[in-house]
Amino acid sequence: MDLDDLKKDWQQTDVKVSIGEDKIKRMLGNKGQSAYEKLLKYEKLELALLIPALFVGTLFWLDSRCLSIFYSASVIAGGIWQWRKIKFLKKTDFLIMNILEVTERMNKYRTMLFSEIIAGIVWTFAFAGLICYISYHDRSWFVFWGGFVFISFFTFTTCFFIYKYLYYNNLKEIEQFERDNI
Amino acid sequence: MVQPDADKEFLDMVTSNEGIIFKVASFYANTENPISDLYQEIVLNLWKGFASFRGESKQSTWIYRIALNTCVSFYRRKKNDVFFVDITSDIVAPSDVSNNIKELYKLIDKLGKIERALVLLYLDEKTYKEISEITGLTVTNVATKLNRIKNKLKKMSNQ
Repeated sequence: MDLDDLKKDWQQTDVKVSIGEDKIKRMLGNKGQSAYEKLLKYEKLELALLIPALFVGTLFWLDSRCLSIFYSASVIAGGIWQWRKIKFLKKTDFLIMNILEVTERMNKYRTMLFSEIIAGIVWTFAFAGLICYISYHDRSWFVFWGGFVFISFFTFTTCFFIYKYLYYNNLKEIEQFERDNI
Repeated sequence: MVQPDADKEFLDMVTSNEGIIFKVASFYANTENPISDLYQEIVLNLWKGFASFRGESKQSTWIYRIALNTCVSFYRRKKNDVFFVDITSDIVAPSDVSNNIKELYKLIDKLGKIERALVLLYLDEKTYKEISEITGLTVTNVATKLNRIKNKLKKMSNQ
């Protein structure tokens, strides 16, 4: 197949899109929110949810200083991360940027989401481990270390499979893009 | 909400450039992101940028830039985020396309996002300078990449 030979055929292809003006008006008027704006909305919502989560969680684990500090520090770190993500998304301007810039930024955003998932899993198990430690550290050596090994193994395998799944579906495409264009 | 005086101008622009919007959307559509969703997303983004368009570049170049930016960045956190207007029946693929074009559509999936944009702009007779403006690649890079893509497509169609 020769791309140059295709040019004529391509330009002769008669595209007939018969979307009436009323439908276009409805598209724009009917809560016309683009996928990109929805993405931003979800990110802002997640940031807003962290505020009650900080107070409720800290109060809930108030009797354990260690848990309370770990939890509130994590939520604050999560909030900063979330704020940076929103700032990053807001800076992406379809109207000014070229395709290369937009693709690069969206790839970075996707990479941020994958890191977030991995960090989230590690955090969940670290938090569970900390709860176990506080609750069972005075129990037998076998129960404590058995629990520790089990949690570590479970964290590692879950992260491995999720990363592998994400890698083959998304990250490989991003790596390819970076190899070709950056 | 659409303002009465601006909407006529915008609707005229969309109607007269629906071919470009369709072609861009068709190059990036897949089962997860159907052409009708991409089409609407492009129209929405064009509308958002319409007020700031001052004619510094050609209208078609501006439309290409926004349409391609929309498609390369189209990402949904929720797969079931649906659009409000059903336009599936209004977008019908042209029936009289040549076998070569059909083959191109089969192969296009195997190309990267930037490569697809380059093919599309090349087929629509955009100059290397215009392609460079839209994509952000240098003119030399556009030429090199296009040559590479041409060879890649030839190889793929022979396989």
